[in-house]
Amino acid sequence: MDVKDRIRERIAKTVETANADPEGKKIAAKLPDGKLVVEAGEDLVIPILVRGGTLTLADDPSHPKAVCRFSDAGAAWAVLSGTLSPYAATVHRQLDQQGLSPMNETFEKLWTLVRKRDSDLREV
Amino acid sequence: MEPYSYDKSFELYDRAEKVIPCGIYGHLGVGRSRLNPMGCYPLFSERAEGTYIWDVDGNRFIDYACAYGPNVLGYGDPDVDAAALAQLKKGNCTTVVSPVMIECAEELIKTVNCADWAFFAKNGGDVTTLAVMAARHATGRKKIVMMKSCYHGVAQWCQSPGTPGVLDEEISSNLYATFNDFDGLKELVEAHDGEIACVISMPYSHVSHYDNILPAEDYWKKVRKLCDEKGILLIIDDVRAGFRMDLAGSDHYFGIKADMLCLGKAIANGWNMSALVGAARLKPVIEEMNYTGSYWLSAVPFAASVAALRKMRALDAARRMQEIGAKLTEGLRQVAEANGALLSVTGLPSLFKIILKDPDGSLIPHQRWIGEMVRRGVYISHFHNMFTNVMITDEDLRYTFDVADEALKITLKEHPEIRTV
Ligand SMILES: Cc1ncc(COP(=O)(O)O)c(C=O)c1O
Repeated sequence: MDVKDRIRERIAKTVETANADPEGKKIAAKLPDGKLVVEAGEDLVIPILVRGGTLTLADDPSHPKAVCRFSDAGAAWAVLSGTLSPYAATVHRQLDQQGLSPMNETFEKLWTLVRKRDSDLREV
Repeated sequence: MEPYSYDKSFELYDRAEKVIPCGIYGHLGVGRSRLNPMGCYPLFSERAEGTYIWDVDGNRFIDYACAYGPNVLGYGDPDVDAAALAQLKKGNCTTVVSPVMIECAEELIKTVNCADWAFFAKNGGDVTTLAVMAARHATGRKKIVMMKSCYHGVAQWCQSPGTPGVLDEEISSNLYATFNDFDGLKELVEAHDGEIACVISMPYSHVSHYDNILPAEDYWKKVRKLCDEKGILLIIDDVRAGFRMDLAGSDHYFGIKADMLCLGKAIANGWNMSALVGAARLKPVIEEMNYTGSYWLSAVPFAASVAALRKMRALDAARRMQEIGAKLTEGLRQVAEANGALLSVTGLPSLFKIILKDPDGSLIPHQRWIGEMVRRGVYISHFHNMFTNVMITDEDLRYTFDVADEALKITLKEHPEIRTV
């Protein structure tokens, strides 16, 4: 699978986890309402709408409350899959989180949970 | 003005990242977008003096973060540091305690209105935890009321659900109220009549990322009365606001007397200690607790605190920091207004919160503005309330306003949507 498709799939899984997984729901409850836009290079832009802790994938990236911008798809996949620390990625400007931080922080916790589930570190 | 660059800081980060989780962690760290826009903030400092810090690249900053609270009298205050160093020559972490501990307790009791005794620890979180444990022990009740989105440290009891490593059981006795909503608090208390040990709250709401909220005129008096009627202990967490609103305590500032007051940060101008102080009737309760730490009774911070408390009283430091903060925030507000932007200024001037408003409430232009200021020598955090200290001069303020103006003009070019006119 192409790396961009993997990213799309992982973000979709993150949204699903936030809405349906008991631990995910607990984390998602802390998300402020509004739009979060995940970007990985110019042609991969994924807007996510949050209302009352429920997430939906959207089409329009305008008027975000927060933006989680990866420098490119490679960096995005490295962070989402856990081979690159989000801290190092931030300092090396492969990950730029702008806007309302609780939104970015909480979404990061959600994708981390998805990764842990995926790597069997946690039972589903 | 030529913006700063941070080559050495970033080189050092690469070393740090190999051997320290996150490279730099916690509230001073690189996580959670704290230092974004990345490249605007220095990562490592070389030295500090007065209200300034110099980073490893030789850049100077007027530091309005004040180490997130401890710096009240200026970094390296000569009187405080002389007292600390004199004590260091005599002894610090020793098997038998130094009498300077008594002197420190006596100074606190003299300074802080609700203090009949003082118990010492290291971090603010040590004493908020002790206060809650003591309230449970004093009342024999399990539940505690805290404010939504409050911060009392990092012990499990005060973390939020879903935080890594925090069990639901560890926070299942917490009840959450909304700051300033007295009716809501009353309802909560009545719904759990006889079960609540304490209400713990900061003196006013200074939640990161949002405008700060001062209490309504009679809020604290009503809360005090409710607690008295229901046998609930009132704990004011003054770790952050302490000594910046009123040296006698932030509870005193708002016209009430807390049962226990948590102090830290400014208490010793950056030397590492914290204290829980409280009402005489709770002293026997504290005596029954099992609570201590290897460094808690070390003498050097006590000597520093005695000197700091005396100097803060002599300078009327809280009033001075309020006056400086009022000039600072009014000047920044005027810079925004002159550029056709809206700056919200909330909280009290000595621990002010500023947010450059944007129509989406995203804080993206705000972060850009703050970042450009930092790159020009004015250190402000984009997410947290900021602080003043007594060493900030009118010249520092003028420099700050010039930088704020230059940075705002850059921001407005990229974010014309924040123009209000
Ligand atoms: C209101 C409040 N309470 C408690 C704490 C915890 O203090 P410490 O970090 O010293 O443990 C802080 C720290 O920022 C604080 O602001």
